[in-house]
Amino acid sequence: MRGLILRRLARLVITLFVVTFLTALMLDLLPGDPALAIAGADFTNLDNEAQLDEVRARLGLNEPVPVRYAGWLANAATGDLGESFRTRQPVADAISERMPVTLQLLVMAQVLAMGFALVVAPIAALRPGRWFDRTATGVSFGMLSTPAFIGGLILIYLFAVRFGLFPAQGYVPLGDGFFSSIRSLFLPAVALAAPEAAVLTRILRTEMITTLGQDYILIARAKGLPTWYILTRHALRPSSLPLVTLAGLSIGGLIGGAVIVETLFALPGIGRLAVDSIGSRDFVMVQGIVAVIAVAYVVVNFMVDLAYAALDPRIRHGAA
Amino acid sequence: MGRTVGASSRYTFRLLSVLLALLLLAAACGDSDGGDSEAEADEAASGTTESVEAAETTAAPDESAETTEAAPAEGEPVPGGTITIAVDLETAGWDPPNGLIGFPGRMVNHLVYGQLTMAQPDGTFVPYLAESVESNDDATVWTITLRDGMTFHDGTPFDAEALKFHFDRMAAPESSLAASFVNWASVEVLDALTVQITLTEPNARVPEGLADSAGNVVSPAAVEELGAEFNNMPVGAGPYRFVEWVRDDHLTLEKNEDFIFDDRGWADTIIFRPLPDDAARAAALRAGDVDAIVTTNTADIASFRDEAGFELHEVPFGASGMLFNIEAVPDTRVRQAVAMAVDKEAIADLVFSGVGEPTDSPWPMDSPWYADVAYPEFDPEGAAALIEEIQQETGAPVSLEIMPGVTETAQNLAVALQAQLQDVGMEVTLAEVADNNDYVVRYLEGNYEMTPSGLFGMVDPAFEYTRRFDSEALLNGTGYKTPEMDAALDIGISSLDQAERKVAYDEAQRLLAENLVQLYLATGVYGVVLSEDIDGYGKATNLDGSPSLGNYFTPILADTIWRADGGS
Repeated sequence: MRGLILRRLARLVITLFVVTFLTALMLDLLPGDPALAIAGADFTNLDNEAQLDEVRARLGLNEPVPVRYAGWLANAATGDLGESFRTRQPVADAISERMPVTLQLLVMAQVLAMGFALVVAPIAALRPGRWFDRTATGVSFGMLSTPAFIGGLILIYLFAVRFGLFPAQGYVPLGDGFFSSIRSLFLPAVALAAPEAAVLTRILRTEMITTLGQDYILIARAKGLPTWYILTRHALRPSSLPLVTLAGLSIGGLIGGAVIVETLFALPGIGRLAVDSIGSRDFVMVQGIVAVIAVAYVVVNFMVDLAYAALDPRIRHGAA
Repeated sequence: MGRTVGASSRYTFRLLSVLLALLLLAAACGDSDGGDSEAEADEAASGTTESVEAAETTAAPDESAETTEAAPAEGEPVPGGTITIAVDLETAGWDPPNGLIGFPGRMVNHLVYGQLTMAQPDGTFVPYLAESVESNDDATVWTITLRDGMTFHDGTPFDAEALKFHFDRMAAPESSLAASFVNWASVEVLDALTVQITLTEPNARVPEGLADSAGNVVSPAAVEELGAEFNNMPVGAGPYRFVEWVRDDHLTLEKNEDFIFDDRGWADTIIFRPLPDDAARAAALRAGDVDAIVTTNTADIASFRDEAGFELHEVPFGASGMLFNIEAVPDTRVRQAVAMAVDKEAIADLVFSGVGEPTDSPWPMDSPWYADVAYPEFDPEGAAALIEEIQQETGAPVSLEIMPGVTETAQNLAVALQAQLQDVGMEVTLAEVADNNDYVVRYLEGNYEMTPSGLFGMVDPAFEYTRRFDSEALLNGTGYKTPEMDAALDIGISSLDQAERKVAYDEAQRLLAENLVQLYLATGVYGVVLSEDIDGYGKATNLDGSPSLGNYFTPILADTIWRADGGS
């Protein structure tokens, strides 16, 4: 076990290094000029080249990428992620302020997506080809093909403007009221979860159909066990392994979707910060965010591997 | 294993389908407001004060489905309650020398700091927190006298020492705005309430600066105590004090009872929310999550015309246009053909959803700065003939690259222009622009041929013209740099004589028209949409009752509006 963790840690470090270095290169390739974004927020205060030069000197923008990257790496290794070019707020502070929002959104979205899949897929798998299965399939494809910004806008229009059930924007922190907080993130979580839910449902359904065709299920039926018992106790667990893997991998896609959803619903999260920072060429902030997301991604997938082992004794004991 | 789907299952399925269809139908047959004309287009700027009253009262036609009697009792401000305003961008920081204040941020600064002077629709600037702002004859020495008895939110006095501290800080090398103060030779405290500024060269625009960041005075005690944190927790002497700021979420302000003027600040609390997406912002207003929004999205503005429950103010703000890089497009006949080929009516209707009128000037016709300069008339046949002529001469097709802006409307505009120019025989391509940052860099480097860009058409031309068209200006990417223009712009900056300045700016506009550098398409408009619960918009006045504007960039003077229901 210890060997496993050490190996994983080593992989994490290498991944972080590669990801952040590539990011530094890509940021440098972006057209445009960071000094411009920093020196004049709306360009009404920009009077002469000297202002821009001063900014470039202060931020070390005239140095080549490897030099800048090495500087950043040295600081990051000691925990100092630097200060935002624009706001001069420490990057670590900005990220930790916003992490809880995005985390809550991602968790809610994942819970909604899995909940949907775990309810819909078994019923669909029970009678494949019948009306429930067909309806579920149709709805799944609908959810899959609706991009988050369209789904989000429809949800806002229906549930916030027309029916007034949920707020159209804004975030209520958990500390200010559990139910208000869930309510404020509900629509964004649904918008984010929809494509994910569709994929999970399809996969789980396919797996369950296979599992339900196995001999031991037939025996369970012959024994007279109720259907719901067979579904939940005998069929679900073996079918859920791909689901767990997918859930782990989908974090990346969810973070990407969170960018859109956070901007649309005006949530103060990491995704929105990332987009704004790229737009204003705030390299330091982007680097910090990318590093944090990379860590999160690797850690989550590691936990997925552990969960795999917990769910399936065959893996735990080395077989299959 | 399976069983046949029985008759009852089929029935259930059909019933559910019908119910689902009905639900969707109900949602689709949306708002049935027939012609409720509560909201009306209005001009808050340009000195039209009486018409604002008309926008408030409703003419509720018979066919209206609403039973609410709008038309709140006119006139008297009602204190109390919370007003929430949604803006399009977050601000990066509130400390004036950091230069991070964008357009929405100025609305906040007006509340937290107030300002030393206020803009008037006729282009002059009147003292506000300052008692007086005067200069000597050649605008090289300015004397500012403050009002007696002002205090900052932390209780320390707002006096001449504090003012000097503020000015020194704005001009210091660490300040991002230091360039604007480069000809401030000295700032002296003459007495407890008076400060004298000596300049190295004449500058008549000082009162204008005092309506903006230079006039947002900070509390020296708070700056010393908070250091860099001051950027996140501003302390000024304005009608509202800072309470809390959660970046990208909200900014909360509460009323300052000790503000020097009694007739400012009615709501107990004002909250600003940055909602970057236009559609989501409009939806938030309709859902009742916010009480007021500012939007530049012409489709949204058009949709709020005549919408029950809201009051729309269409504030004129310059004009959209076309800006050439004359070094990249040196043949004036090409630029002339472009001017002749563009159908402004069509552009205003299709691209701007009918918000704004075709125009040849960044100012409305009743503005003192409006100049009747001659631009080519709409004449597509003439344009085609001209293009033909050039083609025959050079033996090659006439091509033009349009650099589109980054917003949705800007992209639509570029595509519409492309179509119109192709109709007269030009080959038009659109440049690939990554984002706003990329756009500005290309513009500054002159790496473009034509871009659909207009002018703000501010209350006073000085702010924009020198920055955009002076030959030394950083922001001049047009390639048009001539001594005649520089001379005209110099007079505009340094002269105290309004008549002389008018002649100078007329000349500047004539030069831009004659050389076909900056063309115009349609009047620009930004929309301020308020829920019907909010009163008082557009009635901001100075102490003598004359209408005032804040500065150029404050769409809503939130200390002059109130909730009609007083927060109940």
